[in-house]
Amino acid sequence: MSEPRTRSLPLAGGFAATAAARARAREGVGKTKIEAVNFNFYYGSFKALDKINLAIPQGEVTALIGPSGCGKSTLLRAINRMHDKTPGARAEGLLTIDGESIYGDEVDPILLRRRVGMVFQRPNPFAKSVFDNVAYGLRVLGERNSKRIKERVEWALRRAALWDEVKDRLNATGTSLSGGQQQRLCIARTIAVEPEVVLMDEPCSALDPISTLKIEELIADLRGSFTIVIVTHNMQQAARVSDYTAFMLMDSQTRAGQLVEFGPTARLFTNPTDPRTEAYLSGHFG
Amino acid sequence: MSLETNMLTYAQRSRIDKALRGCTIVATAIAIVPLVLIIAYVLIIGGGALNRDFFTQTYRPPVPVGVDPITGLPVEGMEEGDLFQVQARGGVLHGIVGTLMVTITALLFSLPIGVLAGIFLAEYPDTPLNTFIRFCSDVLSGAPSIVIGVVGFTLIVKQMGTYSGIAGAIALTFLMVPTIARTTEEILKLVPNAVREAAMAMGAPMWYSTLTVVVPTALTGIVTGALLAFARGAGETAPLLLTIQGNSNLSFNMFAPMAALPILTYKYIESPFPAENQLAWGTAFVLMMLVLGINLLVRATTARIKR
Repeated sequence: MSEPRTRSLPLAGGFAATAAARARAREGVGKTKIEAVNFNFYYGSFKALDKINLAIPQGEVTALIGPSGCGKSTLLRAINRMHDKTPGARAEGLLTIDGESIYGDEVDPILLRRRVGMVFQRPNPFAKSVFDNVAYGLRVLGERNSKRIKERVEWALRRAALWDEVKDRLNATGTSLSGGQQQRLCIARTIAVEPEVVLMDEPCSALDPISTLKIEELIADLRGSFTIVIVTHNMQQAARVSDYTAFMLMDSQTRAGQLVEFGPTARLFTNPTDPRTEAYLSGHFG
Repeated sequence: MSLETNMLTYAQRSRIDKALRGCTIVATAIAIVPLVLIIAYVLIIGGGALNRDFFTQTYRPPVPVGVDPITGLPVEGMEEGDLFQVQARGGVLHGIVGTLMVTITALLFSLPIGVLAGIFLAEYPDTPLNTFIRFCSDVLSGAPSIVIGVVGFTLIVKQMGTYSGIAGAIALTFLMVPTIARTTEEILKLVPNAVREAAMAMGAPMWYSTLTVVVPTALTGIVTGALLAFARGAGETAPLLLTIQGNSNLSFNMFAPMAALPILTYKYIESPFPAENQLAWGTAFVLMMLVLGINLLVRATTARIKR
């Protein structure tokens, strides 16, 4: 087997290795993790993304905001190639992770997705026990040692602030939890394998305000250890959780999504350079 | 308002509603009558044939009333008409054993083929091969069962040189595979795509996510399909007549002619002896109970899905 492109996953060494991996992630905070250079995306003949140029920094939270149809979800899903199964979907231009092209010919999408995890809009736990849900990714990676799996499941559930609520019912099915718990279970499932990047596609839109708050606290807690990219409809949420914000808009003529402005969240929200950003943030449209 | 001029009054609409509801109730009743009659007939006539011998004995030739069963000589005072007044003797243990062995073997053959075909139909829908297989499967499930019997006879019985249980199992497999494949396909299509996406985003290859997430999610539905296919196979007569032939003795040899409940029903009902006709009703009763039991099992499993 060729040398895997993934950094060696810290499954073998238990917590020490995990801590080391997190430390490595912290060292690189602020460096460019994911970069788009003149990136276009098509569904058949329809151009959904038009010349996106964006550099997502490592270890920080980047929010993608914009009105419906602006292509923010398309961009997010392009990062771990979730469009591969969509007939007619294709990418053009450059999208890289650690300088490697995500759409390169030699890239194995399965290895890519092991580095780039994803949390979806609707909680989608498997019809398995809470424990098996979190252990799923570890088993996908081939981990068979039940002691190590146990350790990692507990670690991930603690990290997802769910351990105290489910530690007595790890054998209950994942779907029996409340909506907010299910979403934190999905986050635990994603981070259990310690991906480098966690993509979140409107993770709170199906949740009540209290569950939303918990997820937001969780994102703040995961910041630094993971590079997080979050799509949200909720501007306040973007302002609360993110370090950087990308504002996207659909071109009125071509209907293709474009990046209007990208910058530190504090700056973009208080002092946007593009008048369209200002109009959107002040609620004039969208 | 001009709209109101064309409107029926509330009383008129209620009358139409009642009339139409009456029609549906009558139609349903007409549909149910034959069903109730069949069940009642089989219960009353067939239920009477059931006793311990029925389940523990195999075929025994009927003995005329008035004939000594050991010497075969007429007992004194016998009249000619009594020859057909025979005692019901023996049972259908050989049929029960044959039906279970043949149908279970057929299920073992058709389950892996059917489930894998169903997975292919549901998970790889955009290939020309898929359309072709779906078409073939539909044609096969609509094929008259006697045709399946003839095919089984030509392909297996003639080649083997003998009727056999295994030939019957293969013929039933032809019938059961399409049923299992299509129910598996339908149930897999009900598995939310979000679940597939979740597994995909975890870096699971497609085969792994299908085996560990998609199929387990749909497992109860797949079991339901298999049970329904089993019930269908257990009740088939025509394919078995031409493949396992029937056997009056208890046989566990899958490579020799075997008995089966539907064949016994068919043979006994043609018999000139009323006692054997009674056995036919009894086998029909057992067969119906078998199918009914499987259907109840299906209901129990689907109730678990809904929960």
